[in-house]
Amino acid sequence: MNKKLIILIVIAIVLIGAYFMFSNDSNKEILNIEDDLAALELTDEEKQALADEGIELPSDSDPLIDELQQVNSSDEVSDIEADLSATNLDDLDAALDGIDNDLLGL
Amino acid sequence: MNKKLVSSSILAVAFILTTVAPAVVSAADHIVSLKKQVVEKKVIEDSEFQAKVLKKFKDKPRSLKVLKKIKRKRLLHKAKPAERKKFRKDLKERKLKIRKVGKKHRADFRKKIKSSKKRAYLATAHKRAFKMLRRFRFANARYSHIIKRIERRIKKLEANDVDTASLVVLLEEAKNLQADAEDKLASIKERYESLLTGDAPKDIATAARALAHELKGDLKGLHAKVIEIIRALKAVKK
Repeated sequence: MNKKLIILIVIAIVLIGAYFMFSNDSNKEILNIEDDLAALELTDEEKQALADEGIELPSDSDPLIDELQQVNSSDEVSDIEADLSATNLDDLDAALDGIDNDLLGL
Repeated sequence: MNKKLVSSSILAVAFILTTVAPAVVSAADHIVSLKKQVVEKKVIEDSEFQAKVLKKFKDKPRSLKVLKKIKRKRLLHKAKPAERKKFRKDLKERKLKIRKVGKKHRADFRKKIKSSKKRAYLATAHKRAFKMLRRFRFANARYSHIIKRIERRIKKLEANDVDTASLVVLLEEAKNLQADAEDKLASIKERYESLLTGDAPKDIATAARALAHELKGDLKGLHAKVIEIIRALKAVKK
């Protein structure tokens, strides 16, 4: 009796863990866009010129893009609303001042 | 037999405590943080958005010119699906053309601009601009995805004999706004690609900045339109 009970508890715990691990993101999707926005790579000479001017190259990673990329796939109104609420448009153009600053040196 | 059972149970529990349980806890935390984000991020209301826009134009009279430009540039306002389809086809060709010209600018960049310092500045501005464009593109793709899901929901309602005529009108407007945003994105990319020619880069950046502001406003308009559809969807459901 005890033996069976222990085995059942262990299986139940493993199944619950597996459910949380695998079902959590089953409703999530990662968006893709056209792959034509690769930036021009700087040569070592250009990187050095930039370093001499004290300007840092922008990093490739972008947390805002990571956020924007994740969406629900369901057509439930509550899921659509959740995605809408999680859409941050405020910082889309935050780089504009940086671009102007880069060009100040010209 | 009992000893074996006890020792295997202990091993199983140890495995659960060290591997499965932390995963469960982190998954639960993730759900809580996602829920928090959903609760904390405020939906931009129409009235709030309008008030913000009006305040901005009051503060900066020059922006009124930009507003007029936005209205004039909304090519697809009230367009029908067939017109939008043609618009998208033309846009696809235009995007290919921009990509081709961009490739040429990149190929000529180091031949044309001899100063490494100038090239460094231009390439950095270009990189920053493209990173920004990716943000805009993902935001637009997000709305495109949301619109498709709303369309699916409307089709399900139609299958249940619900009158969705008013919803379809709103959805068409949202699709037009989304296509317009995509067109503006292509225009901004075209400007930033031409940074690599080295000709009048500051003027190019100023023009691209104005377009980026317009696009951000357009996306906010699209956001408001989708909220309107959601409200209408909820009303239909009731």
